[in-house]
Amino acid sequence: MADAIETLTRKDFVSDQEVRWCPGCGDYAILAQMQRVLPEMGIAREDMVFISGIGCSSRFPYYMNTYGLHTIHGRAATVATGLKVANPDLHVWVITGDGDSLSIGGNHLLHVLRRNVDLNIILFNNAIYGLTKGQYSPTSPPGTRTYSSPMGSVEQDFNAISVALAAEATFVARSVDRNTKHMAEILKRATEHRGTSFVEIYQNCNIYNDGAWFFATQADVKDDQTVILEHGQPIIFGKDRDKGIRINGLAPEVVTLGNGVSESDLLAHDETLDNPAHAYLLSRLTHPDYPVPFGVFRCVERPIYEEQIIAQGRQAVEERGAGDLNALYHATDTWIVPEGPDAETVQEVHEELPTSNIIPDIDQEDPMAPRTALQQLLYDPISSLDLPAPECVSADTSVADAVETMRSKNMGCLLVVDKQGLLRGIFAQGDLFEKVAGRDIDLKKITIDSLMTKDPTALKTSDPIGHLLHLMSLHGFRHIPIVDPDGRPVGLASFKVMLRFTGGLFSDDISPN
Amino acid sequence: MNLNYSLHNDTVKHVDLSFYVEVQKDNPVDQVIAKMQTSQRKCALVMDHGKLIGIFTAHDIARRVIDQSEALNEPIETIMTPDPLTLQSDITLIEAIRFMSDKPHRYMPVVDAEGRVMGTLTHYAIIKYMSDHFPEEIYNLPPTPDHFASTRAGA
Repeated sequence: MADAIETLTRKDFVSDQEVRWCPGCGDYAILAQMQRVLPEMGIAREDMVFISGIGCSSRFPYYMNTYGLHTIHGRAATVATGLKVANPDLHVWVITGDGDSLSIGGNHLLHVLRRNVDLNIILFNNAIYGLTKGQYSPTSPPGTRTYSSPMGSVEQDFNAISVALAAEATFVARSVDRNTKHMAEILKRATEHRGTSFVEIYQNCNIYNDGAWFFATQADVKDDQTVILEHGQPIIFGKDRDKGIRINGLAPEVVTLGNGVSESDLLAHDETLDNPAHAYLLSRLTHPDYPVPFGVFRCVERPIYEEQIIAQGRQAVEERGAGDLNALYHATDTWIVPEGPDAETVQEVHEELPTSNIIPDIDQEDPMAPRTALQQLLYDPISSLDLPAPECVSADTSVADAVETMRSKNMGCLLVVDKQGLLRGIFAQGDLFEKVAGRDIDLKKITIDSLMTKDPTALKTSDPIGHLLHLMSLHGFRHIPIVDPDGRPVGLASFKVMLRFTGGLFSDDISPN
Repeated sequence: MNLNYSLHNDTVKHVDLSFYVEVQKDNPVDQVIAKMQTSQRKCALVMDHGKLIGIFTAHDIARRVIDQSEALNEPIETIMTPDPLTLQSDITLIEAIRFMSDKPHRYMPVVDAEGRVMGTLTHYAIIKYMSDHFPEEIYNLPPTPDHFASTRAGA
């Protein structure tokens, strides 16, 4: 079992279900990070359950190759609580949205947080009802114009972090879909926390609320309009890291470092404070008056709900013996309703939906227009890259021979193929670095079969270059095999190929926009 | 946001330069490798009294150390690449990309005007920097290119 856990990879968490989110949705980025982080957590797949309510984000469990429950609107936290009490060995995630958890299921969210059930709640906040096509949600700011608020919403919005703190949550954090590295760190922290972890992720709905979080994600402004919370560190932000948050009475103020203001004057972050006032004050740093904080606002320990409930159950059994549910059920007034006339059989009517409704392309482009450098970088097929031919070997090659081949051919990696020439694995310098270097291993006596990455992620020549960048930047894959439709390697994409392509793509004739 | 403009105006200090570890010239090779492995950094900068004197990477391990177990106890300065090429922190990213794509180097130390090490530029950090310009087009992709729904669900 332990071995099985260690060898889990991202691919093990990818399900075969068609993803039904709109192209470009921020939900994809969260899915990618979850699939990247979980293999590192050392949890067996069969011990994980993703539970969701209703909404776009709540489709998440279908796309994770783990157990999952798509439950009823707002009630994911409730189902999760029951499951965790019944089977406390499971690792349970609740996937929810701003509408699902803060409106329809608002009450359930409050109570799971104060109970401190050991589960992880991931709230995808896009400040809109997306699945029902664009009504304002409990996190839409006043004035938001939508189909259901044509003159602007008149409702005060919820601050999800403030709500969680008020509900006595023991772990409260925020991240954003487009800061993938930060999101991965926060997901790991949430998984490790014992008790309810509440993570709000700002997520862009590119159809109904596009740009809601751009102040926090656009490269040219994000450093001046957000702050990354680090435990024990003064709260500093800005592209040049020259601004900070100082406390003036009970209010925070933005100050610039220098001219008599030093780091020691700034508020230092402490996520472990028992008093939630510090975390609450940080949660009220909102755009545009303050930089919006990302990171862990609060992380404290408190007894776990299901542990105490189970302990009480055990104690009751010890003191009074096992109960009899049937006896309890019939202990007071019960009666039998006499059988009446047969009920009419209801004929269910099924209407077949046409299956040929292909979702139309959102961007209708002129096929004759010249391709811009950017279009080439993102959408051109991989076949337009100048890819080196891969060096292919069989899985029974000794590591010593593989090392020698890499040396003589000056390759950073070898592709492993079977007798039919189909891709079976990839063996890279990274594998030598991680699994062999510094250890006393006779390279002649072991084959690359035991060290290679089996069944690696590969792309086809017809796939877009953007997907190469997706795998490289999100998952850190330096080498990606390119295969023909049958799965035979035809090329090897790498960081270097991408750099070369980029270097040649952009002319020195530039304009700011 | 215009990637072309950014590549021509942002300098190497605007990308994540943290993918490296620092070691001292008399550290034995096995300790250096262990430090690189635990921190998951494939590049070590070898320092002597605060000055950069060499570089040692996962690539060097695969090419020069992997089958030479007697090298593990040697001080790192005997096996490192001495006097590595460095990049000035104020050169633009497009210059750095073109420079690095012509060279075999995967890791380039970045120094300021006084020669102090500011970090290490890696291929990965540049790819990540570029992808950060197009989160919707790159991060918000399904796990595989053909994972999109082909039919409509519901109303």
